[in-house]
Amino acid sequence: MNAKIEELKQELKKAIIGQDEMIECLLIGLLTDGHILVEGVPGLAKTKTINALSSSLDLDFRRVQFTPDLLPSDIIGAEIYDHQNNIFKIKKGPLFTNLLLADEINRAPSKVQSALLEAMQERQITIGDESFKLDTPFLVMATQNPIEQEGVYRLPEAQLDRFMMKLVVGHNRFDDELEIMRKASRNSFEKVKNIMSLDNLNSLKGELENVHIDLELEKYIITLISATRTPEKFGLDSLKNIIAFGASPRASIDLHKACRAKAFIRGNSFVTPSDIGLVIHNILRHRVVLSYEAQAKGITSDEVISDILKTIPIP
Amino acid sequence: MKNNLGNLIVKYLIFFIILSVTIYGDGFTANFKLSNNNPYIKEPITLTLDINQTDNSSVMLFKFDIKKSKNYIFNRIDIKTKDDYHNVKITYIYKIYPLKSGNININFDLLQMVTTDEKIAYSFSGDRDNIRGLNKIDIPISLNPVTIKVKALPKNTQIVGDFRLDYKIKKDSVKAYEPIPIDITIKGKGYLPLDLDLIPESAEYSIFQEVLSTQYLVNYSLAISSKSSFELDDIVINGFNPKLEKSYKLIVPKHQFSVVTPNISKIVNSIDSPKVLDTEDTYWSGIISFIKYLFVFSIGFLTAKLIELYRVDRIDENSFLTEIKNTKNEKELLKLLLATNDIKYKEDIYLLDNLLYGDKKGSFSNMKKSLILKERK
Repeated sequence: MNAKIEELKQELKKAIIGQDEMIECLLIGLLTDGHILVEGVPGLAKTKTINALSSSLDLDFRRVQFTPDLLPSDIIGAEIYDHQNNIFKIKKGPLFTNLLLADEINRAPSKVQSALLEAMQERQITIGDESFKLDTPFLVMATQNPIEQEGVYRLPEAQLDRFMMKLVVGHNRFDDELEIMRKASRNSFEKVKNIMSLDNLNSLKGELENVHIDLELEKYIITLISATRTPEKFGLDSLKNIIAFGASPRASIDLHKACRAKAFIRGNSFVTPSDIGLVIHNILRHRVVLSYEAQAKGITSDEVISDILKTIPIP
Repeated sequence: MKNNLGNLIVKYLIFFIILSVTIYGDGFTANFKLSNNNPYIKEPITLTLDINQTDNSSVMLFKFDIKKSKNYIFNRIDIKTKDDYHNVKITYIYKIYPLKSGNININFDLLQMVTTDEKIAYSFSGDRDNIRGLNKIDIPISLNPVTIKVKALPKNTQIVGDFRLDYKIKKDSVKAYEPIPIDITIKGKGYLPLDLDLIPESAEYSIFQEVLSTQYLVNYSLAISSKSSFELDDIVINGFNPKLEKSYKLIVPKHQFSVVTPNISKIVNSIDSPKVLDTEDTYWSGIISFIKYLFVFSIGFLTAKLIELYRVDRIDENSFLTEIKNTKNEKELLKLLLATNDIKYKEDIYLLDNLLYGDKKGSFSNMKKSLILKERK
């Protein structure tokens, strides 16, 4: 494993027990400028994880709780009239940060979701007549309630596509939860120290550029993505009526970036099919739209991705 | 502005002579026009009132209506308003129907309201949660009643106006107590006759009646039912046209209806108490019902079990074990483990990855065996 990344992971583990998958996804997002959508029940250390990451990298961190009455100006900022000087001043919103936790994003109406997702895509915010570039890095970790819960607005597929990965966080393992409970009761969680500067992070990003990916593996990525669009062409006739929409070209790009980052985090200088297979569920989970038939049968997008992985030969 | 009636110069002339009168109020004029001051009972007369603002220094509003009375009924036909700046013009048009003969006084309510531009602007500055009322001065205008002399109608007149009659009797032969639909429509201009007793009550038949009306039409939907044949006499409606000053009759000619009485002995069971089901029948029907319930229960139970089996089959761990056994090389095993999307196989994936693409050496069969053992545990 990459020594610097390993050091960072060990530092984060001082405050976060279990949730290795979430930490790794955040690191992939940070290295590749991707945003992460996390779905899961409350209390799984989502805020703590991103907070710890910001402390370890000395980055600015903000958290916005999305509510049904939230307005776009509440997150991007607004022009405010200054009585004394008789001018309008720009009041920047919480989006002007490095790491943002958008908590319960699907509790806010679509206009607020759009404002956030637009900023995520463009990395730029316009208030009044003035446009502002967002600082680098800019990583959004949005959490989402499972859609079955009441009082939530569904995120449209086109907007979900802006998220590089969708992570489904489950409960901790028995041993992990025991340790969490004991440490929390004694308040003995260690404080996360700043161990990496922004320059170090940028140099890691530079090193990531050197990770090689073979042409055969690039073709493998395109084959996997194409299989979500026209499964019948790849001998997956059973999925023809299961998939309503396949993954977008943005999925190919994100899978390419993510598997290289995965290989880099593992300490490899080249990508293997395992790197692709280990991130593909997180990359495609929210991008493969299932048909009503699939939903009625209780089939999940993870099962569809697994079927594709099983069928497409590894190079 | 003072509410001083002394300031009002009211000029009104006797309506029997001329049909128009103008009132000069404080800052306005009101001109009454009557289409006819000597109508027959129920003959419509049109009252038109034109109010014109003459003092253009303030904002004026008006409220006018005819007072209710037993001697007449009225309908407001129209209100036209031309609301120029400080120069309001309003025209009210009413139809009045006198209901009794002799001299009748028609009384009015007129209210003049005076305010300013500033007060109107203030009242508009409110919103849904902060309503601001309009501050104004209300001046009730005292108006003398208008008297009309109403002529009596010829004796037995039932309807007043220019009407004609259509009728439709859909069938004249029915079964006992079957309703016979009769449609009588009176069309024309005048005092719409909504309360006519078209068919007199009789012991021979029962009558059901529904009246529907529009501006120039009244429709009587009647249904008559009887147990035996009967004859319906002429229906005669006496009308009077006040314009032509002529009486006329609207007639539905008499009609014979044939009512067929069914043979009661054929349709009513003459046996007082039907045969009771014997015990054997009851016993078998109970068993049949039980079998039916059992069948329905079994179908439901089996369907639920089948769905459960189908679901279990999809996540059957044994099938995964079989899949591991069936893999022929490292790549197939790696593909299978990656498809599980389960972190418990992460170490195995890295091991296989190293075997395939790294410099680590190992045996595929040993790897497979250890995985099978892991799965069985």
